[in-house]
Amino acid sequence: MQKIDKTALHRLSLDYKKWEEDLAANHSPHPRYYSSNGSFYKDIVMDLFRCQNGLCAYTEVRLCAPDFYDAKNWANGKYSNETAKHKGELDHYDPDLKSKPKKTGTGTDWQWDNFFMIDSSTNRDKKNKQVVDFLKPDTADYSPEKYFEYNKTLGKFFAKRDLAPATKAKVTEMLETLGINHPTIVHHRKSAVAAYFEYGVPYDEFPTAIAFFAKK
Amino acid sequence: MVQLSRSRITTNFFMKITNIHFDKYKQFENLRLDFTYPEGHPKAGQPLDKVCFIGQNGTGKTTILDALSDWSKWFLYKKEKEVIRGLNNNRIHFTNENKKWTAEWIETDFIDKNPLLLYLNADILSNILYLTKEKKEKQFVGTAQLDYDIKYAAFEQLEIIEIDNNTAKEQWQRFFAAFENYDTKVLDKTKALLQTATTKNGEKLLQDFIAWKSNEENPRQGLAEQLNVFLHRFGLEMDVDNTDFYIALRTLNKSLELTPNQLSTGIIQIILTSVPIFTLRNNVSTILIDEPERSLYPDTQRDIVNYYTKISRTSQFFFATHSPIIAAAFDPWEIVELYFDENNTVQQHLYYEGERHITNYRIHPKYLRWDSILIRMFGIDKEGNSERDDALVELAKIKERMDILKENNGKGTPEMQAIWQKFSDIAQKLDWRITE
Repeated sequence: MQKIDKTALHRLSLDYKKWEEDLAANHSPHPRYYSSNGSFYKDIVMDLFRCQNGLCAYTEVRLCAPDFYDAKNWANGKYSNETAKHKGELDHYDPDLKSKPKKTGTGTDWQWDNFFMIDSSTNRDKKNKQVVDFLKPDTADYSPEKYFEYNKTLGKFFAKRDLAPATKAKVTEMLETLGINHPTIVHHRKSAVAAYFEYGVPYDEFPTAIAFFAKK
Repeated sequence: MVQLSRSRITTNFFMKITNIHFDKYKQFENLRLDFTYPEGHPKAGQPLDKVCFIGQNGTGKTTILDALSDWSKWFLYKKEKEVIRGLNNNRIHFTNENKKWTAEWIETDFIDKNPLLLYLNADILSNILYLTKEKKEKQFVGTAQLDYDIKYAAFEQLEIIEIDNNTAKEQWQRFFAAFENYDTKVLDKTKALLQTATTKNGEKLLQDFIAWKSNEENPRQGLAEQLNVFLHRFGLEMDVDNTDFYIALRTLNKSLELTPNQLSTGIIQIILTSVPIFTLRNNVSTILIDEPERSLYPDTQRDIVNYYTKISRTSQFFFATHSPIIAAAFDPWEIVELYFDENNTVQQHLYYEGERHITNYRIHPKYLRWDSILIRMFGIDKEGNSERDDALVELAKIKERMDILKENNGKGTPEMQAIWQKFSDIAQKLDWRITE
């Protein structure tokens, strides 16, 4: 899970940015989140892909081709490519920030900081499970080296051995919550890593595994 | 002829089945099944806590559950010492290795309070109606209890609980007896409150009632603690304060109340099987559960066996299943896999070689992948459909081309990238399960 920069540098959906910042500044309630139903949905999705290089924020599987999140697709602060395709889902990292059922306005449903684009199978498993802040991939002092190690034989990430036991347990739990070692991802990742190292095929997925692998 | 043995395993007089021998019975001929822990196990020689029957349709999984149930009936009702005539005049004969084990002893110690056998067969779902209370006239004044108590007392003499069409009503009345008693107390208290309340003392009486209710143990609470393990994953929980139904559920956020007829088949299945086991949890029962996977999604199947066995840790469980996920919950000595041999007689596929010792077992369900369980234990002889086989061959050829190209300085070339793209497309279709 690579570090993600969600600051203004990558952002082109400026209408959504202003709308969300105004809500925060005025302490206004957020409309309830319905997937793909908000007027800024595509603006958020595509801006996130710009920040995440088109990869799932957690598993690093490719969800969107670079051409679709290139700057040329934006006009006047809105994403404008009607033909864009991707296979990701919009995740609320901390599910508790969403409005409670039947109580609109009790959450910050459209908060940029809480959004990531992720793989659909991961989203299905993650559901409303609790998360820890220190593994939120856009946190200022987060880095994968700090918390994870990669076992190339198994193709799996593990909590770093020298972590304090409580932290280690949390990291282990989060590896499961975030689908980083989902069997399909593991097999896919092993093949992609092998393709890069054995056959010299440039990689466009799994940068963290490849960086960890290269270090060994 | 069927031979069964039970053993006394502690100083308490309770028994669990240690083996069954079918001399000639329905589709079985000289079939001996051992239900004890193997050598090398800390409980070697003691009866297994749980057993799982698997095998092709017709190999006799349900027949064995039926036989255990039938045997127990005759064991109890005929009360002969050694040889007992079974259903259809099949002779049922007990091995009598333990001389202390006599009909006398059975009668005095066994029949006392401990149910002998609980059979949750394939018809259990038809019992959904018993989750709803019968509408009784004047129930509010609490007089309907009398008729019910008589039936309950009569039931105490009967120690086999097979919930068939004839007995279902009585059985469920027994299971819900504690609920019924509690609900009646609540009703009586409510009635007393209403009759004595005046505008002056109303508030105080209400407070007294609330205090009484919070001190009175609610028998639904214990069941809720068990059931909620599963219900939470469906966003539901048991509403222990709803006394209009024996079991009522609500959404976790308490916004919606669900009565039995509004529940999914899988949830009803879990409730209908959990309630009897929960009621008998402190007894030493033989619990037979046919097809525990019925109507359950795979992730729920994965946990259901441990869920049942944890509800009643003192009972012995026999399951019959077609599900590899259910089978994965067992150690190899707990599995009885049946198959038809070349003469079409039923045999047990033994999972050990040589001596029956834990180190000699070569199939370990708990360690296998789900598809490996299908291949090694359920007679599936291929990884997938023929389309998968064809694609795997194609993929192997592409891999060969990549290796040749690599040897000829083609590493990282556009040609290599193009071939990899083909490989990647097919591999994705195969869920990337191409190497271990």
